[in-house]
Amino acid sequence: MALYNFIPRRSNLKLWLPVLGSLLIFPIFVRNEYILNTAVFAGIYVILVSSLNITNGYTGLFSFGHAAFYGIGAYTAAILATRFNFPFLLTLPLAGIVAAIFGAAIALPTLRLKGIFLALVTIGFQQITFLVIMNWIGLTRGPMGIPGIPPASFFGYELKSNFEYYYLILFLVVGVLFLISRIVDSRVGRTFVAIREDELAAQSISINTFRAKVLSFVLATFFAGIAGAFFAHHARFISADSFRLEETFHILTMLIVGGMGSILGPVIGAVFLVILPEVFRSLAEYRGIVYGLIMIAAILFRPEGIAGVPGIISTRGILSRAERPQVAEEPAP
Amino acid sequence: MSLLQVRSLSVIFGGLVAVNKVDLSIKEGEIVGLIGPNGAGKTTLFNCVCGFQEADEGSLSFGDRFIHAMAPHDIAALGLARTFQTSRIFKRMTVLEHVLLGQHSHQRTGLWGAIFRPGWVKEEEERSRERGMKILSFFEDRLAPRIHDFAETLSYANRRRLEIARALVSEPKLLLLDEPTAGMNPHESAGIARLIRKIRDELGTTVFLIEHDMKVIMGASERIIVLDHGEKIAEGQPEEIRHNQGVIEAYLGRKHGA
Amino acid sequence: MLILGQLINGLTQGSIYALIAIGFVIIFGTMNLVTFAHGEVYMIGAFMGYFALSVLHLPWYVALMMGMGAAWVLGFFIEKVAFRPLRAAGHMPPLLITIGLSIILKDLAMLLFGAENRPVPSIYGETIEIAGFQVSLLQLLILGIAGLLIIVLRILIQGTKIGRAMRATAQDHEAAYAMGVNVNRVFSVSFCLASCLGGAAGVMVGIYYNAVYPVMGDTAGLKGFAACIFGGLTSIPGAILGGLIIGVVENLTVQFIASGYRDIVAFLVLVIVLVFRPQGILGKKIRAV
Repeated sequence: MALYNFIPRRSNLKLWLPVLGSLLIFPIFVRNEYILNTAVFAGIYVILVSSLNITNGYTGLFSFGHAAFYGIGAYTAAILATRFNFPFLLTLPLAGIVAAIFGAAIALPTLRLKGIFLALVTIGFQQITFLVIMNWIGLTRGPMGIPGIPPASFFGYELKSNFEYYYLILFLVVGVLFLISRIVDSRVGRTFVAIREDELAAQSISINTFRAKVLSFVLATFFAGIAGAFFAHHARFISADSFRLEETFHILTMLIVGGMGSILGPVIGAVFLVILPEVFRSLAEYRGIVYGLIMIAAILFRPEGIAGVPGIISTRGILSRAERPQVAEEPAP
Repeated sequence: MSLLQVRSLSVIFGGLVAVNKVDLSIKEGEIVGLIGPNGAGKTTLFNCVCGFQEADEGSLSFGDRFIHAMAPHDIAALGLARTFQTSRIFKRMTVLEHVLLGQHSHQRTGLWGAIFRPGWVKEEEERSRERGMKILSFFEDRLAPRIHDFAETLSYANRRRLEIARALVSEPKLLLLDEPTAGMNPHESAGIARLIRKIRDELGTTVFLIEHDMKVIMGASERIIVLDHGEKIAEGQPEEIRHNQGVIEAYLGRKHGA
Repeated sequence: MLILGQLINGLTQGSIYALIAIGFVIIFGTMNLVTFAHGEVYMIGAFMGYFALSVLHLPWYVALMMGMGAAWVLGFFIEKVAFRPLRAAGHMPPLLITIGLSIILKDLAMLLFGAENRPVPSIYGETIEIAGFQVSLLQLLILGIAGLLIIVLRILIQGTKIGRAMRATAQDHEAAYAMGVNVNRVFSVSFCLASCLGGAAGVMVGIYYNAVYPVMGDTAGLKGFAACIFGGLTSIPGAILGGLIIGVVENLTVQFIASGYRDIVAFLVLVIVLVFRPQGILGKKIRAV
């Protein structure tokens, strides 16, 4: 079974349970705050990259605006927590819901677009979101960011150390991956893949492709929002700087390097690219260059990444006039 | 009983009239062939019937529903399935996934069903699997042993068969086949002709097919409609069409199969 | 009169966006592809201009030439790395490579030059009076250069052999190839030409705003793209119109709404055009073949 085929199920318990087990006991032996902090960030990015994978990997929609939804989730949680004293147990799901509402609002008018045009409109939205966050001082305090976000808490108990946040993010990661696995391994997931493979053929077997694409988008943005809320409560301070277009590119690089269209791909990509800069701390200044080189190397030499479904980013094919990116859905002759 | 009714259908691309006031009707249980030289408008007609192409004039009805303004996925849900001229399979989905997904219009599992997997969802998956395997058995041992292989690993002929399987699995009332034997050798083509008969005889599906291979069309169809330059120029039994002067002239000098 | 002043400001800025946008039109028109590294080409051109003006104290026209030259060379390199190896791969792989390249170039610039603004000396600070209000000579210069470059470009495309080859390739690669056009060379030249215009825009921005900095390419590139989309992706006049309109509306926004929202204009244009009229104002409706 190839890496990209792997979906955690009851039948292959033997494969993933030991991994889960080690992850559970790992912090007990490694009490280093710095390492645990890195692990927490790895967890956040696993959720972000896995959520981007839903649209970009499974459904074949190239969305370039993911950091905006991450930011919307973070700001929603931050504002609700600092201004209205909402507890963590409410801010987390609400952040996801608000991000998903924005996702739907964007998806509905734009998902008729394809390829590069969809990519551009998502970038446009990403930038607009960033600029609004920076300028709507009344709501977001603009460039000053929102400080003093209360830590994650459960019925009064506040999380204090990375040790505790680690278990929280592990729980969230397992939850998100579980949900995504279930979705992927079902009629809904198959619908997404059919749209990626051949939208016209999908319509011919009675799939309402537009509705499915919107659903895919809403799911992806929901999980991104959840990641944002966690980030806000963990970092205790957020500012628009964390949610720029560059952040979307980082998430995208992790997805491509890890591999699109599979469960493991995003996990591997996120863990690898979060740990890498920490391992080579001396190269910290060159982080951007390393990211860029890795992205280029991946596309040139192994576009399916480490554990992705081969062929989603195709590097073969005939570039003729017929392949000119089409703006919106047009019937084939 | 008329299953598909096409009335005065016209499609105009810019200045070019691709389909010109075509009338035809297909009764339940028939196997009807559609032939004509390249560029006669056959695929355009199919595209209109399936909702991929908007007609400029005329109307289409399927059963008692007008379908000429409907979206393709809604028309498909009414019981109309098709295959495409250029085999449009889902390359990176397995054979099994194709026949499971083909039953989309009969399945109800949505987001919540996928996440919580109540009993009815599991039953639906089971039933879909059974039905999928049953349809695959129509193709002898060509597809069934390969249910976990990606469609892109299949041979060309098997891909075409898979496309037909995917269409059949939704229990369509009407199956539109667009050049199902294109690119096949005579042995494989004969198999398809037999398959078409089998589909109608065992499943009760009405079949409407476009073909260039004359052996297949003459062998499988009970009635043939001929299109040339977007107009219907002849209609009748295979033997009549074979000797029809107008049809012969339309093909004179142009490449045709068999 | 204030509005007319803003209009001139807007047209000046807009003409610079127009040059960037024309670059995208050339690349998309001939190669059918999009680059996200164009902003960094613009930035490198700007830094070369800075180097010529502030360090070597050369006159502005030499700085302009050097900026355009540097951009040409960089464009040549980018085309070789991102587009040539993936000639048959569709538009997504090269796009992703240009994203990688843009990240690398930006980081390199930050490492080499630091993140702060580098000052560019002022030139032509005087203003003159035209039709009753003040116009700075610098603005006239920029408008003049932009106009000149566009005219030269048009002569190149309409009147030269390589220009004809570019137009033929833009219509249909395969037909052009069949007729003996060296399509690879056309792609390379087109990309370099587009980059060259971007570099010129960079130098001009440096002169106009008296500063260059490593991340200046980000928004400029995207705004140029917005202008290009506005005009219809394959129309040079449309791109010019788009650039000018964005420039003018930006300045009016700064004047009447708030300066922080200035950048939003281009992105709103981008999103609105894509949602309501994706083929742009002057583009042809793109149909499937």
